Amino acid sequence: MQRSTELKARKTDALLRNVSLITQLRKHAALYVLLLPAILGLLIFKYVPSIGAITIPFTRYSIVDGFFGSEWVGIKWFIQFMESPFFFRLLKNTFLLGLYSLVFGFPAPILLALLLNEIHNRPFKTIAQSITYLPHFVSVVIIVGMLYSFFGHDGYVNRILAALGIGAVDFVNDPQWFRPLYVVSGVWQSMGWGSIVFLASLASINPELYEASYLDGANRVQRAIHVTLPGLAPTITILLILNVGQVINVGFEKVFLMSNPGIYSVADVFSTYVYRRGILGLDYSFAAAVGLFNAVLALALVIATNYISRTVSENSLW
Amino acid sequence: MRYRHNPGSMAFDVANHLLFLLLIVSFIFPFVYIFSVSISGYAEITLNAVKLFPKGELHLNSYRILLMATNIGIAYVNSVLYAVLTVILTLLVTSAAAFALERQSLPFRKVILVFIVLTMFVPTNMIPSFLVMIGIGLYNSRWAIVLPACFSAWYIFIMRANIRSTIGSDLREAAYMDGAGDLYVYLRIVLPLIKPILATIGLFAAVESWNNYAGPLIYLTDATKFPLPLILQRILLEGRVGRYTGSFQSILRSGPLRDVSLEGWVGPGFFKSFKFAAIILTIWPIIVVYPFIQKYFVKGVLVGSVKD
Repeated sequence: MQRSTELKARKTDALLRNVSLITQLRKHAALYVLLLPAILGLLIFKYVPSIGAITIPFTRYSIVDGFFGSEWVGIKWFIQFMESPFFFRLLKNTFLLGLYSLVFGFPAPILLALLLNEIHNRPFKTIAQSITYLPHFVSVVIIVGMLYSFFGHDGYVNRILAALGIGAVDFVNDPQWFRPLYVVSGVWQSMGWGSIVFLASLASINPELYEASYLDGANRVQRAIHVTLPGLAPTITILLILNVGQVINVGFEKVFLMSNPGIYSVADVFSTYVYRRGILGLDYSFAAAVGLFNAVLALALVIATNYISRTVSENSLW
Repeated sequence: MRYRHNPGSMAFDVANHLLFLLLIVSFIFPFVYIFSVSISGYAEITLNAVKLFPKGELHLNSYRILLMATNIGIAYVNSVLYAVLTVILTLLVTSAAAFALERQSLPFRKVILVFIVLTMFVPTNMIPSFLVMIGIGLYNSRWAIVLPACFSAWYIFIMRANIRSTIGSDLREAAYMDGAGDLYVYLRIVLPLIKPILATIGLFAAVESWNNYAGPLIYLTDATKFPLPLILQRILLEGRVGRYTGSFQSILRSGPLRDVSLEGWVGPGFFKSFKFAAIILTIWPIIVVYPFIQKYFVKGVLVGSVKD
């Protein structure tokens, strides 16, 4: 008897809650309408492609059958890719390009921020900052166009070399110059912009620490090492973890624009190969398998770095 | 900041300022040189007489030929169109979503938030994105360049934080007391009040769209729909291996100038000037407005980095 009343009460409770949910939903109808475009857009342009990124590599994709209807072939494409002569070349090229970019590109904005921090002439500092940010906004097509104009056979650099009595260097077509050009121009383009985050966290370091170091008689180098760098450490660690994952995610645009058949042996990376096999060669499943392999490798790198960072320091992403 | 002025410290200051002067020169010099070459005499360019400032009889022939003989004019219109559409749609979509998600009482708010956050982490790549574009019938459509750029979880969260901090709950309650609906509050109260963040995010979206190269390369086949970066790639890079031949001549021949004989004065100087004019034509909007809007960009980066 008691049980049934309890049940009844619970039922009306649920009923009430349903009613109130419906009135709540109705009350917020306008807000759902405002949310709809974003949800639909993210669904179509983010979720559907990422489902495809996981399913397509295991199928023989056909445009007619779609993501799920295509014939299932297991890990065939992965095996084919790993057995192909391209595998090690792509792995090596991508990894080296990413590694050099990290080794030279990561410390550059930190160093720039530290040096900017030592400039006390306000107008000069502001101008220096604004100008170093500028190349970040220049299209990569123009950066590569400028690079190859200045380093081309009759470019500015070769004219200077000639004036110095050094013979012409074929920077553009010589494979051994590809990586230095890619990395140095990358540092030139992005170090200013990259320094903003570090400058912001420099500004948040407690000024009392600087006062204390001054009273302790620390010179500027000691102060930079013992006060400023530790203050930046959390920002540096988090960005480093994120950047290590990018080592294997070498961007498509710049490598693609810089490469020519003469330097394929060093300038062919995962992303350009995916473009060539997939978009140009129409081997959708094979190219998607290369893409997925690349993504999994990047994820593994982030997880590994995060683990190492958590073990050796207190800073980690999760 | 205090420090003792000893000789070492002063030497460091001098070296540091010199280093930054050098850096500034390395950033400015290429652009000045490129501009100079684009208006210098062709003979002077061929003889490598242009070191930094324009030489010879100054002229705009390279720009005229560029505009008449190549698709760059159409590409310009396309690029402006894509940037404007991308900015308007991005701002509408992300601010509307941010406004809705800011309401604590919204049923299923948590679920929707997780749905949006996840898009920052799920991997996508070129092939599935390309196949989706074919699947929804946008391949080789102008919308394939505009739409994928309009939905950013990142922008939604930046806007939501901004709406929360700029619009006091008093203000909103006052509006609702007056019987205003959600749409009215969004359009008439929230949007005008968050103009600064709209400007910042709009600028980011505009630059990203203006410089987008991979999207048009993958999604467009019809040359009349190409934006500037694709045309620039043809002008700047396709003739780069070996001497200047082939593609340049064919670009010139394909346009309205095909009947004009260029043989007499088409030499290395002309080609260099022509290329550099294309660079100037593309980056002048950024260079000219950059000093005025730079602070918005910096603010944008910092808003993003202090989100947590």
